[in-house]
Amino acid sequence: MKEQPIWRQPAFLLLLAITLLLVSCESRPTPTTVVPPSSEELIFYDWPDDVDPQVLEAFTAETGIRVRYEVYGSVDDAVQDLRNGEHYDVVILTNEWVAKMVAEGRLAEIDYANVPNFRYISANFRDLAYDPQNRHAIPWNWGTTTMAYRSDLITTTLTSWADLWTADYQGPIAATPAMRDVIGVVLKGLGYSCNSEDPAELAAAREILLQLRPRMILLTADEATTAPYLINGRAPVAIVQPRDVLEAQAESASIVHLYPREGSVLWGDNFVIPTQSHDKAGAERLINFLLRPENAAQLVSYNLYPTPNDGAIEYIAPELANNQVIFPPQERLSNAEVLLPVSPEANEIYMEIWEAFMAADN
Amino acid sequence: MPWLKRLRANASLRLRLLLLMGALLFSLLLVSAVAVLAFISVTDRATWRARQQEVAQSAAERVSAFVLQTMNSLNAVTLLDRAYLLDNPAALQPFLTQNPALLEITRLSPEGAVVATAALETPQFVERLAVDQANWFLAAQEGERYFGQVELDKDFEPYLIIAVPTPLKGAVVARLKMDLLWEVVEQIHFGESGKAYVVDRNGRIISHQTHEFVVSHQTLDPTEPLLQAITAMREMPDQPYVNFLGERVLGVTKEIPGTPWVVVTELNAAEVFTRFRLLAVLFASGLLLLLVLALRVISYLLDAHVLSPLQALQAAAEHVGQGDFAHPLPLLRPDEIGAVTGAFNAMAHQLNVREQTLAAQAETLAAEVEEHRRTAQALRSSEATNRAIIEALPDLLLRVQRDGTVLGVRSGRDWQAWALPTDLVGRHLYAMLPSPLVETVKATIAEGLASRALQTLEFDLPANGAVHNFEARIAASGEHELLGVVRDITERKQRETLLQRALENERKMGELKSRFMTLMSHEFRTPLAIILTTAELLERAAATMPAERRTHYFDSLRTQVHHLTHILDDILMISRVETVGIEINRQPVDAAEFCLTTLEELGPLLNEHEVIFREHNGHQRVEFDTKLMRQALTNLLSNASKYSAPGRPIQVTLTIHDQCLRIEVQDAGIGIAPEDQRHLFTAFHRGRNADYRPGIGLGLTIVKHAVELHGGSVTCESQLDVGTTFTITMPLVASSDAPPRI
Repeated sequence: MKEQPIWRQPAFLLLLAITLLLVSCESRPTPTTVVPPSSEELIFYDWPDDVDPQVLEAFTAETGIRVRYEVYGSVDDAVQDLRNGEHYDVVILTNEWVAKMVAEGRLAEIDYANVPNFRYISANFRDLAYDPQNRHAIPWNWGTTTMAYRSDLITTTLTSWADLWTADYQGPIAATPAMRDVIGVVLKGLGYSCNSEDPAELAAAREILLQLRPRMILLTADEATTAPYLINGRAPVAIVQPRDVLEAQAESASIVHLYPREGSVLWGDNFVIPTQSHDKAGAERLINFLLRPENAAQLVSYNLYPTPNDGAIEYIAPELANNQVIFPPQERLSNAEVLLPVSPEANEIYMEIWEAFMAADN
Repeated sequence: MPWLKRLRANASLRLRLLLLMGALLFSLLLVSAVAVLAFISVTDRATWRARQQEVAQSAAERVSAFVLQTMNSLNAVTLLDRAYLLDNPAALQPFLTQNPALLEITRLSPEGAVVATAALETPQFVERLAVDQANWFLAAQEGERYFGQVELDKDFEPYLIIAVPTPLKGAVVARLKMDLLWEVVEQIHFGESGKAYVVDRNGRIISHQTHEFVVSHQTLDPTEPLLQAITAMREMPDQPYVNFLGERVLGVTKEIPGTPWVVVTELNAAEVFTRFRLLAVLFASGLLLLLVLALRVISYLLDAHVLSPLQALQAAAEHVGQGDFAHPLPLLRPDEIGAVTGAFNAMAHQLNVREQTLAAQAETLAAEVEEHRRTAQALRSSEATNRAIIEALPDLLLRVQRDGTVLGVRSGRDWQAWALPTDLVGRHLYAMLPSPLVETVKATIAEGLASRALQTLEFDLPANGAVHNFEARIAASGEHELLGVVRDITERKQRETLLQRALENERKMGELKSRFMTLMSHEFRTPLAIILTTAELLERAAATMPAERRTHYFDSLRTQVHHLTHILDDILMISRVETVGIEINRQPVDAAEFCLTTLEELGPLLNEHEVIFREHNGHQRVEFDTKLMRQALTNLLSNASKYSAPGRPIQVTLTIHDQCLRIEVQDAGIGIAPEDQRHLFTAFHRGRNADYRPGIGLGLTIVKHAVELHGGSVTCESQLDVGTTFTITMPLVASSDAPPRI
């Protein structure tokens, strides 16, 4: 063949091409994370007056995201709203509802990359039954459901839940309309577990509840605590959380706080992010902000509920930290029971009982 | 693609071979390179993998040992007596000191009440709210062990909640500091990018160099191949995969025994491949270079060993094709090409030889052809000639077999007259011949067949009343066949005879001529000498000589002159007679008078003899050439005088009778020998007893001629020492008879 220079011979060119191809192989670039645009407003759905507005404002100041504080009268309402697809970004749900909502797929998995402050949550609040491995909920508050009464308005000394319907006293009972709490205390008064699924037990509780209803004053959505009723005496007895007690005790000296003999009911509030949140990342940022020890401490000092936030302990005012109403000693909780999620069938019964209970308002 | 078309069109062997070799080499090199690279890649990965496994193994063992130790502590606590623990709240403290990683160890009753606890800081697992809901507690109530997630505390320190059930379904729970996990992960390095991390069975990252992942509860997606492998409890394949960070890595997993965790060691595939890629590039360029080099070498080798010789072969073939054999290929190599070259040279040589041979043969052939052509032509013409000859041949042609059977007969012109029988064919020759001839013929035939030589046979046969001479020429014309040509040679024979005679005459004439010359010289010399002598004598002595002496000498002169004249006349006459021929001039003359006159003229000559003349009717008028006759007569008389002794008589007799003239001249001389008598009239013949007597031998010849010219003849009778008689006889014919010319 004709003498072509080597760089023009086809064989050479072919090999060159192959070489270049090999050389040009590179590893794939790491994918870049796409940061979704943050929204301007987050909706915080909670019990009334649960969060110190200053904290929320501080959040807005820091991040530029506004927080709208929406309130619900009861968790059941909140759940209903969630089921209706209402838009909320952060919702406070009690323990027993978290599992249900998770099962219904209404709660988003929390991306802990955005919530590094989760590490402040103490060990004993990790991996709880209603939310294994804290996938969907971060514990916020926990507390006891106990009784308090005006000793000056009631002659009898109340010592147990059963006293609510058996003791001789006059006057309505104020209570937050929390289904599991109310039914739970009745169950405990009857000597059952507040997480009972036994239809017979539940039927008995139902009866009591229906009896009690006319005598009960249930808080509305604007009413944060039962304290006012205790203070003004309209309800000499109340089913209370620590906050109620502290607020009442602050105003009245004759408030007696008791841990019923059957044992108090323990509840927990959790931060959850519903799937219909428009800005999950923003919601997570908010939660993270609230978990910041200083902020958590501030929340505690506002709502006077104990917190699982270890980091916050040092920021909580000593009088609060040592307040045994807020942080009850263990011996008081010896037969306290935590409200646990019940099976869907049992939950149906609970809900039926609650509906009947609520309807029995005459 | 035009270059492809050119490629297809180009039928060059070199190009095709090079392309083929190039393709083959390339595939070969490529295959081998790929194989080598694959091998390297495999071994490389295997090496890395082994390393990874080793690293993972050691890490797993460390973690496992650590956890196990704690587990053992927990198990120990379960065995402790409940009452004892209640009485001794500090009973669990030693466990903490034994295991510095233990943050808290708490024993709880089945109801969740704290039995005993020891903690470095505040015990956590004493809060009823948390305990009742805690999965570890619930698991313990189920009688199962609990192995929690790795959690981070407020200081980002990892800890672990583990719990074991007590026999009564209480729980012993502990918080374990998992710094070891950080250590293990951070200490694992191999290669440049090799690292390790720990995940649990659900894919949650327990420990990672980037703490962020642990903090953020980073969990592997179920689609991650790593998680799938872990879930399926199988080894990660030896193939690169994409990890949760999107990196392409080679990974090895190792379950940490006693935990639900898995150590994952990962190495960037790129790192593994870097070396490989480098090698591949090197190989590729090496391959390229090698290929080009090899092609060059092959091309060169092809040229040197195959193509150049082929070209030389081609050139040589072209030379040979053009007939040029002067360029044999140099024979340089013992291999196949050399063999071809040798064969080619041999072939060329052979071709050359053959060509020359062929040329020579062609020439020969051409010559032969030409010869054949000529031969054919000659044959044809010869055949024609033969035919013509045969046609013209006046002879008798016979084809006979060995045994004498006549195979063929052809009568030539001369033989037509013979009217040979037409059915000769098939008959036996010998039967037709007289017996003496038969033997001869047989012998001749036999000889002819044997010797294959021409046999000539002359024989005589009586035919048509006369004896004819025949000549037969017999030649073998086949194995047992002969061809005979028979010719009537009678005439020839006669002619031969005549010729022989003529030749004889010639010879004789020659003899005579020489004799004549001799005689002539002698005969002339003698008289001339005498004349001269006499003249000289007279000259000298004439004055003093007596008159009669003078007269004697003058007579002698005259006599000699007459003698010479006589001789000359004779010669002239003979000459004329023999060459031109003489026409006689007949003149009337008295015969007797003529004779007397003649005698008178010869007076002196006849002095010594007695001459007697008789005549019988001689005085008649006859017609003959007087000159000739005179000469004839003179010669006779002269002879008579010459050859007889002086004094002896000479008789002349003239007779005319019956129209016939006869003259006789008789002497009483020496006679003539019988043998000389035969040659009497031959020119220049002298009798043997003539010896010293002058004469040249023409005399009688003249007589004969003269007489014969007149139609007569002359005869002689003689006896030795007695005498001779010559008789002339001639007819007295009319002078109108034309004499034959001689």
